[in-house]
Amino acid sequence: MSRTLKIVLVVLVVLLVAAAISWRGLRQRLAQTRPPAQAEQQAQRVLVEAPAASPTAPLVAVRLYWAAPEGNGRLVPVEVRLPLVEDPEQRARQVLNALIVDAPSPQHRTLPLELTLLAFYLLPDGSAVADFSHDLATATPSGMLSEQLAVESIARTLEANLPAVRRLKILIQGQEQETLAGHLDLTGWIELQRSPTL
Amino acid sequence: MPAKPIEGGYRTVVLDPGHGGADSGARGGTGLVEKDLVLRITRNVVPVLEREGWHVVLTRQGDELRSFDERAAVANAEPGAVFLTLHIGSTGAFGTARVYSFSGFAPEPRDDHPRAPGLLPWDRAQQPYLESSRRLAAMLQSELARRLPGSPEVPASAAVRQLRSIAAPAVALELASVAVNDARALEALAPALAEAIVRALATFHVTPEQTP
Repeated sequence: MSRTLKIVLVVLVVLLVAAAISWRGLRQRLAQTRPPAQAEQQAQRVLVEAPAASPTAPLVAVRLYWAAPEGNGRLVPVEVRLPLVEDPEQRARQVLNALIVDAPSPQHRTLPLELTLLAFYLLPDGSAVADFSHDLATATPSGMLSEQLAVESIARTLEANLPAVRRLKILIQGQEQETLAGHLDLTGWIELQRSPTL
Repeated sequence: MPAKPIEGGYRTVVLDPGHGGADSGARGGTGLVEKDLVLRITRNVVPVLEREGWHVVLTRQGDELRSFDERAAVANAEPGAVFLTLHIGSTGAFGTARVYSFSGFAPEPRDDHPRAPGLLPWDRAQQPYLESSRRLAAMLQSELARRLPGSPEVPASAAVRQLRSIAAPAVALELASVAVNDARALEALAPALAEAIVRALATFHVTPEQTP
């Protein structure tokens, strides 16, 4: 092997080692700047949290539909008082957030506790879009009964407390999904006046 | 797809064991998997139906992944068929069964290009059969309530995705549940399930309406 070739090889090896060290350092720095997944989820929850009512907001009686605790597959209305704001979109977020986190017992729960309502839009024609975090698909127990309870509790709660909402579309992470957790069709609109009776 | 007139009543049952392949369905805390259990139970139901003279078609024979539309295509290719999709849920009192017919079609959109007579849009294929599906669901739920105590007396309706594209009387049946500790306890329900299905189909068969 000629001397020139040896020099070229040594230089190439040195360059490769330097590149590897720089790449590793770059990755470590990137990892340090990225927040952990849990913190990300927490940050998301804070960002989309329902608007805080002003201290003077009146307490309004609302009906939330949870599962009957005896496990007969039915929904039962429970009346609670919430300091609701006037704006219907914000009010819907407050009501749905209460439906997620305020269930009187685990047996009443129809939606996973870790679920986040990412956005809620209400159009002038009464069409509403509720965008939930991926937990709706991953943490709702798979099955027709549990998926129907989840969707119906959302629909019936909106029906009872927000007369302006005529129909509802459920999205997950901003996307239309074929089913909730393998069974219940989420591709269509849910006509609130025609919700099937559980 | 072409709408099928019913001639001579129903003679075929398309049994659909839910899920399969990468789609496991519900999973129990002790490791029970819906796709496996439901296939075993379906296999136990088949000979009972065949003994009663029904031609039985399965949408999957083993652990294959089949899309909703692939399963619907199997059913829609069978003239004079009824469709039954079998599932085991995550919740509900053990040993109970619920029957669902489809609900949830939004009003049909205004169409500037009316479709040819006799053709059904694939994603609304169940629409002309809603009434016969509700009738079948009521018969099956009633039979199940007699054999599986604690089951409801009346069926439910829901936007069950698998039923939407079926151009035939179609119902979904969900047993409770994968939360049970021993798979054999669920498999032991197969004879009662088979008997309820046979009885309901026999009643349904003798009173078919001409749909659509």
